[in-house]
Amino acid sequence: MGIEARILYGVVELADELKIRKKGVKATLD
Amino acid sequence: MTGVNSPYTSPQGNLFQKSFLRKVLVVHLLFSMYVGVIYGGEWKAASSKVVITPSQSMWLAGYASRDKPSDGKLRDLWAKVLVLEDSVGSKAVLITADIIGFPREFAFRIRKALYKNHGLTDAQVIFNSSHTHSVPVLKDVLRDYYARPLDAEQIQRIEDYTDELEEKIVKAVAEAMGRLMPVRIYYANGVARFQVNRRNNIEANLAPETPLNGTNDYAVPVLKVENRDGTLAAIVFGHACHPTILSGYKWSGDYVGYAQIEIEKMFPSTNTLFFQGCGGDQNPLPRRTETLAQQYGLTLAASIAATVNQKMNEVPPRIQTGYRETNLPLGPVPSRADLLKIEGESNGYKKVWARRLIDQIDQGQPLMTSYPHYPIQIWDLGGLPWVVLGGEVVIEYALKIKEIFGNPTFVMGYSNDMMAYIPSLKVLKEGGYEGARSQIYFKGMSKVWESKQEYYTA
Repeated sequence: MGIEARILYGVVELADELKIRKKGVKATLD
Repeated sequence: MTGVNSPYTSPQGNLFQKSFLRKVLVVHLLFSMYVGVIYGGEWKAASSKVVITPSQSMWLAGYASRDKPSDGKLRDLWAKVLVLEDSVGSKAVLITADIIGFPREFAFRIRKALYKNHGLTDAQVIFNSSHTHSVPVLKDVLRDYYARPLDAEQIQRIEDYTDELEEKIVKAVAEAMGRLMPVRIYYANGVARFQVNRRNNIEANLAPETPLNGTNDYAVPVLKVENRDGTLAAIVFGHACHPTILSGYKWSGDYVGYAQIEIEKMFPSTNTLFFQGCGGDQNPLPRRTETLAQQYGLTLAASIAATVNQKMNEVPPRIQTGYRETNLPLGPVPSRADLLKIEGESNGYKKVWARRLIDQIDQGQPLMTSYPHYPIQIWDLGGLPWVVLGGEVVIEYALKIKEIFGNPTFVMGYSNDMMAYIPSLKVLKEGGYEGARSQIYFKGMSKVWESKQEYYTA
């Protein structure tokens, strides 16, 4: 996994731990 | 309710007053109960600021082409602090400063003091640098990339300044911690457009009528901290754009410094904090004159004033904070023979970089194959996410994060660490300065980031 995916996965995982609501849209890289 | 009738009201008037006052009291009580249930109490906050302009001439950070130390100042440099406390006593501290970056070692030393003095964890503290290019060099970042090595006296000045800055920031946090007051907090996003994607536009060819290419984020996120009497206590605002209008030898906050000066003229009671967004590939264009720095500062200030004077969204008094570090892989590192060849064929900062790595190998220290401490931080302020990233983050990250969490999200780059540029996959594959060449400026970076194909779905 490259750095962009690692960073965005890290952001989403941390947000999930904090139970932060996402917009629910699909974000696709590359 | 009992009391003496006023000589200026009839008994009927007095009854009416009593009845009216009762209604007002009931409505007030119900509203307070509603706020109590929904918001669960109230925010407390306090801010502080401290001048951090060096007292003596030092080398300026940001441009490797500089060949001598500073020569006076245009405007003072500042470090600023905002402490927030939610309705259950959870605290969060935003620290902003006119510096090139907060390298991990530097932030760590301050974190250690803040934990000792106030019990603050990594998650509770954000360090965001403005990344202004007319500020002093610090001891842990971008120090040895000049073609001309710094002399011992200048190195000592950098060491001393960095130590003093740490002490000033720790004191500024303590000062704000000691005078928390009840406040209301609001947010909204304004807009300002003066930045240009520097990867997709050639600065020398830009005329006012030239169509611009590339992606940008023109948002100006604003957090308003209001005292209970309605006066402004603090304004936090952000923008994603390199403060690189000025490139000379005088200290200056660049356009972000002028923006803060203008805002504080408009709202004299307020302390204004700027945070840098994902402006890694964004330049303010045209640039290079002080009048342009003032112009863009005024542009931002006008946007902030418009936002503050409109209806903003109130932030419920609850805060959650999270922090983690992740490992970012580098591509295959060069061999000693590769580096010797580069050293022999290069000059200036590239030669310095190659020599540094050769020395590292010769001292038995392996070259870095990944960066294990990339910081990711999130604050949730009553449902408003703040996503905070380290390094020189390019704009695509802000756009993708807003796609995930929504447009109001505050996205910061240049926070908590300053290891290198953080290109998106697209920028990494394209190469160029942010994708490849800039790596050699940064401590320990021996190769560009790994660029494996990747796919991500939120």
